[in-house]
Amino acid sequence: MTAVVQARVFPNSYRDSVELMRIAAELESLDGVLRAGLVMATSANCEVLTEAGLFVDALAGAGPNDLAIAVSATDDAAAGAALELAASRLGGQATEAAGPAHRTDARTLAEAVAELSHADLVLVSTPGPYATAEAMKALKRGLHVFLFSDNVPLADEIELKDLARRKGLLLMGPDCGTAILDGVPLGFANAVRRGSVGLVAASGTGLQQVSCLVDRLGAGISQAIGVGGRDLDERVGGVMMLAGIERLVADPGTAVLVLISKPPADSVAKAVLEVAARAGKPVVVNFLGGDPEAIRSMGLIAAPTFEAAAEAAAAIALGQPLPAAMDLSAYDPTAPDGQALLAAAASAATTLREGQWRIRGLYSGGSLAGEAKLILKSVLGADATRHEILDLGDDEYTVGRPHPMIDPRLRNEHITAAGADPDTAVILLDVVLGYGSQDDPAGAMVPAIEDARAAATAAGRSVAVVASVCGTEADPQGLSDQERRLAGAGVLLAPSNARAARLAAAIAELAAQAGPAMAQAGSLGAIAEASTAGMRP
Amino acid sequence: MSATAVRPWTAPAAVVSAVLPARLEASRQGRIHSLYRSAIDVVLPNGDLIVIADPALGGLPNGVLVDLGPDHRRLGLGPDQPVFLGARSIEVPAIGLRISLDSAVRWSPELAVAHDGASLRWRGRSRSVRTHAAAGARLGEPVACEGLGGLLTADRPRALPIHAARAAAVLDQLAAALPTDDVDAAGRIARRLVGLGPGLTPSGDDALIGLAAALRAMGHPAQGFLDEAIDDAAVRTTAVAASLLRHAAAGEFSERLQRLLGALLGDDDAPIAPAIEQAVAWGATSGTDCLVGVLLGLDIAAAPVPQAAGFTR
Repeated sequence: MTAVVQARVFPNSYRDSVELMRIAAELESLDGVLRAGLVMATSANCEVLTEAGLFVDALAGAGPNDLAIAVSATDDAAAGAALELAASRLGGQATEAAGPAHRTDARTLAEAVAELSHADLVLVSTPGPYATAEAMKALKRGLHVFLFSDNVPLADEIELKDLARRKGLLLMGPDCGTAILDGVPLGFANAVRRGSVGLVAASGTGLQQVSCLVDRLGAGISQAIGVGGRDLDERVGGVMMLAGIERLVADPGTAVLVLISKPPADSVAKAVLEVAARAGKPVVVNFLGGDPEAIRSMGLIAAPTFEAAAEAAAAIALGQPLPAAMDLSAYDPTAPDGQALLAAAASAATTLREGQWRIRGLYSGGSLAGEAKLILKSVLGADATRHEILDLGDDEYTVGRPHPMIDPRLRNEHITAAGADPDTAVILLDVVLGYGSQDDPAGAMVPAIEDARAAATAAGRSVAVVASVCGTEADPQGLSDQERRLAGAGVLLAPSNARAARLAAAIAELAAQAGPAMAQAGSLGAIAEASTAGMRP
Repeated sequence: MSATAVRPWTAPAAVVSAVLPARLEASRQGRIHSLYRSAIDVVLPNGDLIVIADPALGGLPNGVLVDLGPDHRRLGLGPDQPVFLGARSIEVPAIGLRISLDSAVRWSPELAVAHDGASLRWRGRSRSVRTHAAAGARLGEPVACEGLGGLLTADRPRALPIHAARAAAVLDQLAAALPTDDVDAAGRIARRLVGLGPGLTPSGDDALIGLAAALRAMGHPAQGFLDEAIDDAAVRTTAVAASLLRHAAAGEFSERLQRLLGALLGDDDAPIAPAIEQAVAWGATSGTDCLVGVLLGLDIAAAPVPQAAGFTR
């Protein structure tokens, strides 16, 4: 039998040695393969391949930074199949370095504009100290700016936004996490359907939550403009929210506007609401924790939660009547999922032991954490401050670490610790999907949830875990897939952050009411009834 | 347009090679060369590589140690992306990453020369260390012996891979040449090890680094042999290995290698076996290959008469 040898070169390819040995062993286990060699094609190794009878012409041009794979087999088909398998194994984790002939990346804004002359927007994501200069250059060239960078001084923000306003451009940011412009997602954005709801938001995860819920309700997004969390600060003056409103008013694809922000400074709120009142289109306003009467008095629709904002906007976009329940703490037990949620809360509460009372909210989204705090305050009153809602994406927690939407480790540590704390009754979580987020945020969280449960069980307790997933089916991670993973870990799922927070509050409230009698509670219905009364305004 | 950018973030480096900040400042800019689970290689304009590595890897002569998460291949980086370099920071704009060097411990990669008496001590323990090394290499089988591990398990039948047999022959010639203090001649022999064998740092290169470290630790006059051997390393071996060989020629070695030599030449016998076990666990074959060079170098440097060491005799 005469052996045949085939070889292939992977230029500028670097693989861990263990991985290469594993692949070599796999190739040699194939039928018909006699021998396989995977080495860097140095001259010394080419001599070794020659001595081994594995050097063929295909390797002649290879250099020391090229990976050479040579296979000796009983026939061409077996050798070819082995090389194909090797290629597929190596393709899984490509780490090819740049070869001598490669594309030239633009190194400056000027080079980028020269290469892409029709571009009208620049995404700036340099570290803060350099961001202002790059954003300024872009504005001076007449380009809109999506300023992803944080740590940009307030004075710089004011100067940049003033220039943008004078030039009729958008300066989205700084610290702008997300936007969707003409269907193009920027930063941490979700894959939502296009439609007639236009958003202007000074809140990253608020924008994501509203856009995802609008999508889920059957409507879609025309434009979603992020303006940065400080835009409605008195010193900035809401310059970009005003510019965003003007653009959406002029946009024929936008039928209804949604404005999202923390409560603005009074003077800024007045200016924004006055412009919104003249929009000539329905405007839903969610100034989280702000005064709804000030909004209603201008003829605008006040939405106390992101979910309420999405429901109102989607209803208008779809030509449906506005939903009635618009109060922050309102919870309707007659709603389709009302009884189910209450039953879930009652069921979770009955497993708690005396002394378990605290809600521990561990959030990756700052605006979602803010919304949860408001809901707890509304439902639990002064007691809400005894609970703990952490925004783990805050600078306080991300120094030297990636944001928890990228790296799960910090939050996982907190989840595990929460499970071990005898006070903990409920762990409340957000899971944010979309571009830029982790590949499998729910999957990354499940081991920590299991650890938390195990710690509680070992101490003779149980702990309720409540979560909502902010995302869509079209997101890279897939909404239902992520929800399945969480449900598999025994997590109580709510369709929105607001409902998740209410569910957590209901469990805590039931635990507080039942106290030591909880474990012996004979009537879940009575507990549920008491809770319903307590949750109503 | 896709949206894969991430928020700017700063990671404080835990450790930086003391020789690196000045080189970073001089280089100003580099590009991502290659990505691994625990390391990111950055190529400088002069072709040298620096390594941004997980702290678990220990000090590297061309390295910055910083915790960037469990898998550096999943940070969203790609080859050829620009990296901005300075004495105080390394910035990777593609992922908004700034690695601050301000609070990093300055670790010296310069290998200290062992104190008097090391030769005598080594002669007394050489045989037992080789026994430990053989046991370590067996523990690491079959992976360790894909490299030069077979040279350590001397009581086994010699069914060496081709590259290991070639390396053994070269090492034996080096064992004869180095004691003569003809550094250039030894360098020309050693050149045949450059780029030989499996791995990103081919086994022959690892052995040369171990050999150079041992000769330097013992203050041997032939320690300069590597200058001649790596004269054309850039075209004879991988960029990763060539960079490490250049550092070795300058007397700069990894913390792991320094620890190994510290254990082998220390006053106490107890750390020797664990140090060898740890060495064999470096990478796939690198630790074992390096150990081969270290043992040869120590034997050469400590020998009372020339030609006392080798692998085939």
